[in-house]
Amino acid sequence: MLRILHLADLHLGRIFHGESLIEDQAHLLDQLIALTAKNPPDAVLLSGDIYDRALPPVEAVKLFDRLLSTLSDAGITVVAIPGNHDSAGRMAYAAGAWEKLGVHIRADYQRLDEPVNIKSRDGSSCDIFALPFVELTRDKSAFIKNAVESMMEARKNNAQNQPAILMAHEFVAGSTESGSERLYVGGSQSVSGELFEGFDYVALGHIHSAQRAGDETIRYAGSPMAYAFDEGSKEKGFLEIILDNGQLYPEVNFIPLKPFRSMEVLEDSLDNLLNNPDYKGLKNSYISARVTDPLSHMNLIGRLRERFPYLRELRQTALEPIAADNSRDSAALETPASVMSDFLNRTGWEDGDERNIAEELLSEALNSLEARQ
Amino acid sequence: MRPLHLELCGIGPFAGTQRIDFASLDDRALFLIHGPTGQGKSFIFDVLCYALYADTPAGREDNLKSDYLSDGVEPYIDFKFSLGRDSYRVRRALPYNRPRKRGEGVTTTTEVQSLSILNPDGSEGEILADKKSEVNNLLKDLIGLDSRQFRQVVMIPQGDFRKLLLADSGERESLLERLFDTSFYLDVQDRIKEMEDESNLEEKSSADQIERLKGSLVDLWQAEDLSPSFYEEGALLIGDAENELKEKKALLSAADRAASRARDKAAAELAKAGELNKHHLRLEELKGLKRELELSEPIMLKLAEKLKRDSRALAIKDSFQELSSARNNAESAEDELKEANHRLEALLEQKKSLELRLQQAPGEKAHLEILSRRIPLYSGFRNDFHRRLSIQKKIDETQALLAALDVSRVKWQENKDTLSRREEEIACSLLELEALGSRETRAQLIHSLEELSGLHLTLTENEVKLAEARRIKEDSAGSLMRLKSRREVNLAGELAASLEDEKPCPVCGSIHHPSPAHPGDGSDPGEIEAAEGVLTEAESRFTALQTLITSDKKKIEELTVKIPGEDTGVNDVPERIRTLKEGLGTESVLLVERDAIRSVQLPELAAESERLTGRKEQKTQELKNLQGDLEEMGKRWNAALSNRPADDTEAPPSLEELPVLLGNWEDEKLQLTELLRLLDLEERGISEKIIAAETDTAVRKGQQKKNLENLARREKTFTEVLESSGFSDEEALETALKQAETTETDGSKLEEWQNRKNENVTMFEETIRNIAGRLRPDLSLFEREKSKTSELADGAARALAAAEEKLKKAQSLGKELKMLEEASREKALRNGVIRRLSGQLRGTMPPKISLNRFFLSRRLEEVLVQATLRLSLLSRGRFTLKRRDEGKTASARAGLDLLISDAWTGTERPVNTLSGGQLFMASLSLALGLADVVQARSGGVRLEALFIDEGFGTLDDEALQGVLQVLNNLRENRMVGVISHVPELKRQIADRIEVYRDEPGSALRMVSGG
Repeated sequence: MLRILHLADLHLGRIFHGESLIEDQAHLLDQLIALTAKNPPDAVLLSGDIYDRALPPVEAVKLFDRLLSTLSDAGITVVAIPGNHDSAGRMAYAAGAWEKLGVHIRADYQRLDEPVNIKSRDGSSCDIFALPFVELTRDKSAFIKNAVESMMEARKNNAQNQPAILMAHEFVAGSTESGSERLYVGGSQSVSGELFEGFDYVALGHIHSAQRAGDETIRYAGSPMAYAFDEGSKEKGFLEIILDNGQLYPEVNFIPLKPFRSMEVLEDSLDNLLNNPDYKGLKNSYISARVTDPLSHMNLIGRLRERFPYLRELRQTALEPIAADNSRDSAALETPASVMSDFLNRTGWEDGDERNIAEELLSEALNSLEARQ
Repeated sequence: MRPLHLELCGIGPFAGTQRIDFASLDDRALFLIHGPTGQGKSFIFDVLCYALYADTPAGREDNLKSDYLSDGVEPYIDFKFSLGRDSYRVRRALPYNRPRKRGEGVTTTTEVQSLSILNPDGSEGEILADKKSEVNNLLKDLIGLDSRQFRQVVMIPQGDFRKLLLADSGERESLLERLFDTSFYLDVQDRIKEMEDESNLEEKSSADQIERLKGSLVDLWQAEDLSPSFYEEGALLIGDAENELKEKKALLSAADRAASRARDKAAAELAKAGELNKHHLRLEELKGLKRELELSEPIMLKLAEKLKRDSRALAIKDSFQELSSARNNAESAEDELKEANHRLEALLEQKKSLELRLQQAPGEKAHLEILSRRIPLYSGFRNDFHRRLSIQKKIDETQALLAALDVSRVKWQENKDTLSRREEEIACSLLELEALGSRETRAQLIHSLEELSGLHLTLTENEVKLAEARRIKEDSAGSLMRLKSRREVNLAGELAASLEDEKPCPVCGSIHHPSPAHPGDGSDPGEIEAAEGVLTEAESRFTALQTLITSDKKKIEELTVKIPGEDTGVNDVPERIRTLKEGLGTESVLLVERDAIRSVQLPELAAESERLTGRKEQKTQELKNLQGDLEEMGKRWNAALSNRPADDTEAPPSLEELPVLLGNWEDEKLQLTELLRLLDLEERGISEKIIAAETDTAVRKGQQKKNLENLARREKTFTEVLESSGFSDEEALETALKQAETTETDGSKLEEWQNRKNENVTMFEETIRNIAGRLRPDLSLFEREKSKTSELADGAARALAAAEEKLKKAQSLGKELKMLEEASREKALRNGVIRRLSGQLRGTMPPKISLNRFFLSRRLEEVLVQATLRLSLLSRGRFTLKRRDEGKTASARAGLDLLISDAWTGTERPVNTLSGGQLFMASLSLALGLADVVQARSGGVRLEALFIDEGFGTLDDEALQGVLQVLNNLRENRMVGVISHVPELKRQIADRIEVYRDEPGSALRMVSGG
């Protein structure tokens, strides 16, 4: 029996509404390390987007260093692939040295058909195949198809016939983005789940909410914490996979992680936001405040931040423009006559004889101009 | 406007030819133009602008030609684009130095432009324009924006769009004016101003008119010496003045009447005096007239005489005339008779000459006779010459054909010989083959040999199987033995297991068991039974095989005996079979050939021989016929020649000439026939004419006789009459008749004279009566009186008329004045409105916002609505853009000042207080809003492509993602191009145009992801 942990989309170093989340991320990794200490798994898989940027900040690098060192010291095998946010080249720094310590950073396409073999104490083993994020410049589906074929070849030649897991960082058709993923334009970004047939489990990264991508055994672990207010209410964590010789399918369990600070969206009047005792407990949470008052107030942000020091987003929903098409309508309705009428209003012509005369004069002028055209 | 394909050469930093195929991008593509700074990313847009508008960007007023261009290479821009459903191609080639075609050195070319339609399949269609100004104007119309608008709206340029955001209101106003056409409202301003001017002029002229009227009235009253109380300062008492005038008029009227009466009386007196005078005058006149009449009396008497004579002459006029005409008739009849005689003589002459002519006739008749006999004789041979020629030709042909047939016959014989030889050969070969026996026998032999071969094979197989079976048998025997011994060992083992030390072994009896047997792998009875079964089976199999082999060998022997020949060994048989089979094959082929020769080729030859023979016969016969014909013809000709008539002295013609000669003779015959006919006709004609002329002459003679008789009678009668009328001779009568022409007028004259005389007398008596003894008056006295009174009457009338006129004028002036004053009052209100309105429209009157500005502020409002949507999105609801509506300056009051409203602080602040990244987002939003509104308002302009140049470097990662989101949403149905060197964008945007360094200068390439 093998027990493997599947994490993805750590996005170490991410900036959230202008502030760094490194503290929260450190808190998550501490939880993870504690869990692995209590019940060491046979392997930990990190399916991409380890960092949030190609050039991550120093704290993020230090955090990742700490994670890898701790797991390696505990003798837990780690396999990591770069995602679309990572710079694959930079991630592969000292990969050769790390490999000797049981941390496999697979950041290029040279060893696609060489799996990392995991063995459990009771002798069961499985192969982990690692497919880094396929860059935009390639024909994704064709590339993945070839890669999977070579992996299958390798499996066949290996007479042991043990289970195989594939790690990949892609957008599989049929899954739902959660909104905090990065936007890609052009090219074909989604791939079909059918490309991944033949593996006992596919450990995916890229989408920030945990879900199935079609099949039971093709899974996104989701990000270990929420990265947008819309995700704040969902449970975040990672997946635990149990491979048992006797069973046909691996068992997959969701393991939640407690966030350092919760994320809440509050939509209420200013008065309530400032005074309602219900909100007392949210002093330490990340808040997105949607103030419903129809009038603007002085120094909203200051006053709200007094109660909610971690206020990250402030909107006055009543004052925001609605993206209605009324501009188009007004374009259609505007006529020279209506413009003149508005002008008369603006220059103070009250209703009465004088206004009537003015309107007459204007329509005479308009007619003669139109006739001239 | 959506770009399809851009090709350029030697433009800007691009030395060589570069191509961008926009058409390969999705219709809604978001693509990135990237590359190191300064390589020419923004320049691509400048190239597009030049292609469409031929304007160069600031700073490159000299031409776009690349500094890296080699001589002799033409720099050009070739741009294909679509507008809605239509596609166009514009090509602009810049001037460059080209080596001269003749001579040394270079020559500079001129700019070449062309604009043409592109067909759906991509081929070039009609050329729409090829002169720079035409191309530019046409493009401007098609696209719907001018160069400035295009640059502002389609390209969101680095730094430039911040201008719109950060500019002061005055600048912003002029920017907006360039983008939105306010000309209509400017026209409204002008038009109202015109109306204001008009109404001002009208007002002034109306006031002038009123003043004038007042002036005229005052003059009028002054002239009348009316009391000054009627024109007090500021007030005109028109009614009172009129009354005074009326009174004056009444007085004058009375005076006028009196004067008229006096005048009339004087006139009457004058008239009476005048009458009397007239009568006196008349009397004198009449006396004079009487004297005149008396003078002319003698003439009148003579006239009476003449009249009498006239009547006498006229009485016999008719008879005289009759006589004259009879004389004339007789003369003319005489003349005609002479003429008729002449004609008769002429005809007789004609007849004589004709008879002479006819004497020649017989000779011609004889010739005609000869021809008539000759022609039928020869006409049958007209075509003989040609026919002979053709017959000869046919003869030659036939002879040639016969020769050819002979040749064919020879060939035929050769063929026949060849075939016969071949047949013999085949027969020999067949005989050889038959030596080996008939076909059946051989087939049979092959069959047996094959059987034998099969049996050999079977035997060999079985022998192998036997060996195998033997081995199996031995093995199974061995196995069985082993099993059995093992069983024994087992038993021994079982036994040994139950052995105990110190107890004897049941087998050997010993007490010690140093190495007892092990139970080991047991073989149970079942196994042994099975093994025994296997052995039995193997043995029986072995035996069976042996039997089989024996029978095989026997069969082989039997068969070998039956087969003739020595070669029956295993190795020989296959060879023999093969040889025999070959032989059969060859034989079949030969047989087929022989059949073919016999049944097809030989019969064919026979048929051919028949044909040849037949043809030869036919042709020989033909030849004979032809030659016979020729002989025939010769014979006939000779017969004809010998039949010539004796009197035909001409030499016999040749056959060749005959057709022509026959023609000539026939013509001659016709001519002669005709001639003879004509002569005959003539002869008959003359005779008839003579008869007619003789008759005519006779008739005329008789007539003439009668005429002369008639005339004599008349002469006699007339002489008598003449005498009795008193004329001496005819001459006198004629003279009298001439004079009598005026008889009527003379008669009237006489009558008139008589009447006048009578009248005179009557009137004289009357006039005397009228005078009645009165004396002649002195008219001059009366006249003087009359003229005096007339003058006075006239004066009075004039005075009256003048007074009336003055009154009328005063009344009408008064009315007019009243009307004008009323109208003026009415207009005052309207004029006030016009002035105010005009001033406000032009911005000179409070609130001092011109219509132009007002309109622009509306547009700006629309732009801001659109801009704010995007800014709100980008700033997550924090910032919105607003207009300020009140202020000190005109443009501020018009609402052209911009403010940023910050939801976080609840305040509004000026735009220049934003940070760099915020400024980018605000100006980007504003520029996008502007583009939206320009497109919506330019009615028909469709911006199917949009470019955004730089600015992304000022954004942090979160903001960049936000902006990318906004840009992604921009696409709708248009193509968006982003120019940036930010590396992160390269990873997130799949379709890219890369500008890179390519010494010298730069180059382009398109990269597509996915």
